[in-house]
Amino acid sequence: MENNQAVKKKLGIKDFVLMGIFSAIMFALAMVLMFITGVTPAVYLFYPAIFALICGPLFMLIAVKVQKFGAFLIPSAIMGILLGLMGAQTLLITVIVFGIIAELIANSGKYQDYKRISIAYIVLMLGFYAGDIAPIYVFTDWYIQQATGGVAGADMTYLNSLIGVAKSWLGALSVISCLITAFLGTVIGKRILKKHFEKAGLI
Amino acid sequence: MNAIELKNVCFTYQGVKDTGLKGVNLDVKQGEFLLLTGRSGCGKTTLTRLINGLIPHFFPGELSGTVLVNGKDVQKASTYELAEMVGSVFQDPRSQFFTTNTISEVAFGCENLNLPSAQINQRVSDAFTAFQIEDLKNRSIFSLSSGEKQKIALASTYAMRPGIYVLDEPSANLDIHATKMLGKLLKTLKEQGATIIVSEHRLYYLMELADRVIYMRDGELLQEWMPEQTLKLPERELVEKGLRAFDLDMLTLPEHQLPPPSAPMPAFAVKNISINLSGHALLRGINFSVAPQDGQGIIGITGANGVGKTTLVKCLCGLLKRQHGSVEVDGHVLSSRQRAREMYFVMQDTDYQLFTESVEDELRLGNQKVPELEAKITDALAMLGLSEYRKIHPMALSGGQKQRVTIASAAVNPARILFFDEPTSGLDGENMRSVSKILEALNQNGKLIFIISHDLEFLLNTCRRIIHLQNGTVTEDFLLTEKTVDKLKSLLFAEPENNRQSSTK
Amino acid sequence: MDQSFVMTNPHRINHIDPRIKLIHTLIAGILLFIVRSNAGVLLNVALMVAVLLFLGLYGCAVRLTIYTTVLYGLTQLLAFTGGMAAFIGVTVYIFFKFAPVVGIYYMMTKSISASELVNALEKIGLPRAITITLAVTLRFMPTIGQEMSTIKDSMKIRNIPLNLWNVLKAPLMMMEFVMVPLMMRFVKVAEELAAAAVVRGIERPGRRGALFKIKVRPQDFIYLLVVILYAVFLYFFESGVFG
Repeated sequence: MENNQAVKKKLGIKDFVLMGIFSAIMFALAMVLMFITGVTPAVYLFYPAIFALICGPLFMLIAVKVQKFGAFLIPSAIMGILLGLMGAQTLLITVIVFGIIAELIANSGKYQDYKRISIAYIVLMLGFYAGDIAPIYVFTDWYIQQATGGVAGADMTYLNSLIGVAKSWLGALSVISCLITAFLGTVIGKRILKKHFEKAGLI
Repeated sequence: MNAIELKNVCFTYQGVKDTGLKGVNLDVKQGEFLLLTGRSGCGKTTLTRLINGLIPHFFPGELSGTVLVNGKDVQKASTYELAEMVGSVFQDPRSQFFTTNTISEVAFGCENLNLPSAQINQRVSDAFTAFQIEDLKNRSIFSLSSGEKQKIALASTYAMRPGIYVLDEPSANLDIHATKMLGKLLKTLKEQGATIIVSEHRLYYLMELADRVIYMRDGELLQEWMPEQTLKLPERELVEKGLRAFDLDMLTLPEHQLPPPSAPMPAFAVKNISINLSGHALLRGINFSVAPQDGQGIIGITGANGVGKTTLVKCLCGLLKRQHGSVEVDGHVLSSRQRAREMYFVMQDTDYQLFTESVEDELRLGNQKVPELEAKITDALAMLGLSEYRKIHPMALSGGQKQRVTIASAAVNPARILFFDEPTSGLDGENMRSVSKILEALNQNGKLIFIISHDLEFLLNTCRRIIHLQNGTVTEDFLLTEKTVDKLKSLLFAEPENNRQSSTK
Repeated sequence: MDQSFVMTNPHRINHIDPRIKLIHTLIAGILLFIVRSNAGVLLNVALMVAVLLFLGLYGCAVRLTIYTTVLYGLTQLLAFTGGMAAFIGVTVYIFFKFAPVVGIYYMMTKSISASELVNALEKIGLPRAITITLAVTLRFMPTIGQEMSTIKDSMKIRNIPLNLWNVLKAPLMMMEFVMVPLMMRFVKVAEELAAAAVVRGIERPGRRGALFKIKVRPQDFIYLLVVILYAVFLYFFESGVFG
């Protein structure tokens, strides 16, 4: 029995399977959202916001069910690895870095403190945003340079400033909306856990 | 030496008030085939979990007494030591696969044991040969039928070479033919000298194999029969014990005759429905009709897995839009949108159909416009024996109760035509009979009911007419009478067409 | 989505060790930021097309070629037209830049089976917490669509259809209706699957065996060498050594 007690602190197969299944939902969601919002960068900037809203309840459930070190880091590492294998390696780096920070925050409250879980989740989503949107920024810059350096001449400068404005405004707006929806996601998550999982005796 | 010994075992799941097992004593000899049966919740699943070590290693709780497997104390052994001695197969084939390919799945256990590659390869190919399922080699698990999935699940444990097999309701999601095939595989295992323990509601397919049948109730081993004795049990006793039939050949139509429904029935006609799914014609030229004066309120839809029964029903009730042909109710052709309103479909998996936080909210959901809703809800709950669970979260209920909640929401819904997809899969005899009674009561209130099912006992108990699908069309359509009972049996026992095709490939 | 992860035969000549493919993916990720010129991107894509052809993924190679050609044509067209068209050009340009990644995507999803990938990650020393979890993710990804459509059907029957109107009218309620059955179902599946893995010995500590032994063969080295040399070539190409 003492043995059992010791094992409980470590992640077990139950935790791996739960995190694996929920990572599958999140990954499928990310793929669908990327595909839909990929029409134009201006819309794409907001896909992390939608993602953060929907994944909120999923991460809350994982945190509450697992309650061990790794509840944030492992699912985000899985997402990072899969997206990284498909070529988005900036994302792999940011989600792991932010995943560790999130894990430490949630762990400091022993995965019991709702506020800390909530902050941890918002931090993680910020990492997701950074990793996903960074290449878009870099490539837009390249585009501007290339365009200004070459082909069309005078009216390109006007366009560049247009793109520049759009970039800064949309950028700021999309970061803020991502933070807000991440927070909303945790609020909804808490509600669902209380209303359904607790009442049904599943957590 | 006994393969399994239980001495005075008591067990209570963590966080549950009722005791799961109460002082169970059981010896199972090497090579013995043991059948455990009893109502849902009688403790037979708990007993199987003690043998494969899921209790206490996976499901925590309070355990006393000793459980020995091959002389080893289960409490002290690790799960992976037990895995080498006891192979397990569970009820739902969809949630026991760890990989997406049949070969990797069969290899999974051996990989965990860290066997050398050559040996794993050998064992995997042996497993496919021993069960004669070479045609399933290297297939995506998503392309397998439930029956094929259970074969792979069994092959995967077989590859680990355990001496003991524990199966927990392995036939719950299988049709009669697949169940028969499962029986054949178990026969192979028995001939090889394996000790086998099966916990089941459907017992007929194991009658030739079982050495002993144990009836459990409330966590106790209540009675023990030899298989021959079970065949002599009078029907009255089966009903009283909540069991299903031991012998399908003996089944006949129930004696009581229902009075014609008190409320007027709708007239229903399906005209020339054809459905193409992903490029090939799944169903073509489906025709049948039900007139109100026929008095055939409950109609069974049968056919092999994959023939398109569920697709047909989805189309009839407006979930699937692309199709040719028309559906008429009381002489009017209905669009798929109108059909979605006039008809109601209770799907096979209850888990997907429960959305709210209490049973009563579940019945209110989507029915806001129904007149006298609250009275109807109270009636439906009373009829289905759910009144005391009114405020309980649906997901906290047992499988049979959840099934009844989904039926209750069909009862409250104003739709006059109801479809049910396998409403009795995984139910014990008692729950199966109660579903049958409930559907009869709904029918009396004027609802026309269609049931997709391959549960012979349930069909005989419930239906007055059978529509059989084969090769994408209706091949048989008959009233269920004393004379046609055998016809129904032969249809259900027949080897499915698509299986024959794939085996000739 | 069913077919996205396939079984592969490691004895074939064009079977490349998945670990080598991982390195290739890494290199491709770095190249994404090194290769700035359009010509460089086109050269990069050319290698990916060759790789896909070598792996026998002819359909993917054709698709990648079409994808790249069309986007390249569009970037040129839009940039030369100037004005507002150039503004839309940003989108097209970004898609064009990602063309080599599309090739990587095809390679990783069509030429590596799920269990092979997991074995490879185990071999390079990733902890079991990651490899087991990843195996489960790969196992369930193809089923998500199915689960979602079952829930959608169920909602339609219950007169709470998941359509744009309802989502706009009561977004939080609709979100709950979708997520609650999905989460409930998966919590249950997770428990059952974990039990099925435990009774097949997953909790055994130490190394896991493998059905197919992964080992590096000469063709793997040649493949890697080609990829690295090509990357170096692209690097110098971008720095203008050749121009």
